[in-house]
Amino acid sequence: MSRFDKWLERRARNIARKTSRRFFLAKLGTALVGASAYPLLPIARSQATALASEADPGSPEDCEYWRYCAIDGFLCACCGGTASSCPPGTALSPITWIGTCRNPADGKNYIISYNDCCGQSACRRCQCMRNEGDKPVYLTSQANDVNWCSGSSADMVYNCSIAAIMGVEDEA
Amino acid sequence: MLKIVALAFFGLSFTAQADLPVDLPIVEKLKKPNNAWVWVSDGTGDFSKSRLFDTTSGKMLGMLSTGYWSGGLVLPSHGRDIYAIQTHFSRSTRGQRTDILAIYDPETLLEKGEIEIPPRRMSALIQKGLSSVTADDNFLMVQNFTPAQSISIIDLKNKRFVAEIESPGCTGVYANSSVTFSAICGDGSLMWVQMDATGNVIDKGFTDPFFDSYEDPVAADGVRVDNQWLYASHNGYVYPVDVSNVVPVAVERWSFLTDQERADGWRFGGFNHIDAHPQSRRLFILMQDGGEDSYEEPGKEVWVFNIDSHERIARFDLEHMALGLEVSMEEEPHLYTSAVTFPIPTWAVVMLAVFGHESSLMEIADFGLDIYQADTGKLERTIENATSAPTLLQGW
Repeated sequence: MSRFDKWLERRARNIARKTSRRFFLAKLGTALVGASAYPLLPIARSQATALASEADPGSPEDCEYWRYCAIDGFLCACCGGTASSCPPGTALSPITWIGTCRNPADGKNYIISYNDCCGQSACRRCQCMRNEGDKPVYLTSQANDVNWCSGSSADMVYNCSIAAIMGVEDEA
Repeated sequence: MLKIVALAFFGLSFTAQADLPVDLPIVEKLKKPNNAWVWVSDGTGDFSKSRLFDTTSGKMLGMLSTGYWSGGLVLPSHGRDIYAIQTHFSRSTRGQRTDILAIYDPETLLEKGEIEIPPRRMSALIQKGLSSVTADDNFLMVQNFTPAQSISIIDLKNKRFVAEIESPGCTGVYANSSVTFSAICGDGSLMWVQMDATGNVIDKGFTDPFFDSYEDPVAADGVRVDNQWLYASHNGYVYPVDVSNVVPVAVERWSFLTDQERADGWRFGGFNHIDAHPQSRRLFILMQDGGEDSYEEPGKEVWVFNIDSHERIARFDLEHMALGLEVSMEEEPHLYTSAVTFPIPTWAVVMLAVFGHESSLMEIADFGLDIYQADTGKLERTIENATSAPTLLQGW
């Protein structure tokens, strides 16, 4: 294991620097419409979610919410939870994948933990696939294609995903 | 008088028609599989299923229920069995987890046995690369994740679980020969494993890294052509790995994009984006032009390359955007794609996308199966409502 631990440690800073600063359209919208054709789309959405706090702008029920830059799943905020809490009746998977998202309010890059909530069947509300900085399954800690409920102590079925702030990226 | 004649005529015509025969309901059996049959799996359902279609007639032929977030089917070349790697919970969505390799009769589609395997199988959106069967159909390797990574080895010939070996930092398993396999590691290297004739590991090691897993990661969805595994990378290169010997050898990569195409944002797309027709030395890649990080976006074209010269020999516009492809092994092959269509006018689709209702689009999307001529790219048939979440197409 040590060769991989050392290698991962060496790469960690690089990952956080490069991962997920872009603000793309949701995957399907991009495919249908074309990113270049509707460059103002994210702005239109932020106006629609003006009720959110100024420091944490956007709606956690909206796929374009800034924290969801590397998410792939059903949004727990639409399923009885919030952006950082699981719905009642589920279990929080302690293992997770990590992304780095830029908060448009303060311009800082935050490290986001995308935990899965487990134990009820798939919520199937607010499906959201962003994939910014997502990596293949052999880079597991950056892979959002993995069912993170499986294999953990919450070894149950997948319900939805949250996006919890772990801290601000070290600018150094 | 006319009325009486007419009544008599119709009365005679009714009595002349024989009654329909009495039905004797039965359960169908499958005929011998052929290369025009394809399995369509939805790997991420709470109750996954694989549906079988005859692409010649467009008819659905049958279905297998494959447990929670299925690992897809394993279709051995001898045709005597169908295997499915499955996860089950004792209380449906909770309780004790059991992982099995279910064994089905290919004629009746009834289960005829199972092998219990360690309850650690990795479940993920992608399916290819999470298990692999040796060319002689004797051994099946299954990727595990707890999140510690390991690989289960199953003896298909003797129907028994053999061993579980650690694969630290490596996920994505590929059978190389009848007794060797490898896995892709996070540092861009391969772990290689040699087994004895009973499936027990007798040697293993790591190659040097042959790709940069952060700058240009290869997808776990590899395709086998002769003695090479071919892996497409996010930036548009094919990385061939020669597996003629116990220790795999990376061959020089080649680009399937020009610099201009790369700059224009062309990348592979979908969940199963690559397949080959070895008989005609053709490689098929599902393509889209969404730029960086777009590699799981639906494909809108299929590009065809000569495996040896690396030249692009065809470029097909798809009728419908697609989440995966599969090439049949027919002499004149067909190209199957997981087609995404919407039962509303195009302008309505665009408006929903523009105003941020992609999730509504997903609710009404129809996931079908498109059948194209692989030589010309001509669409022959669309089978609607083939699956609820396309993750894997497998020709039989």
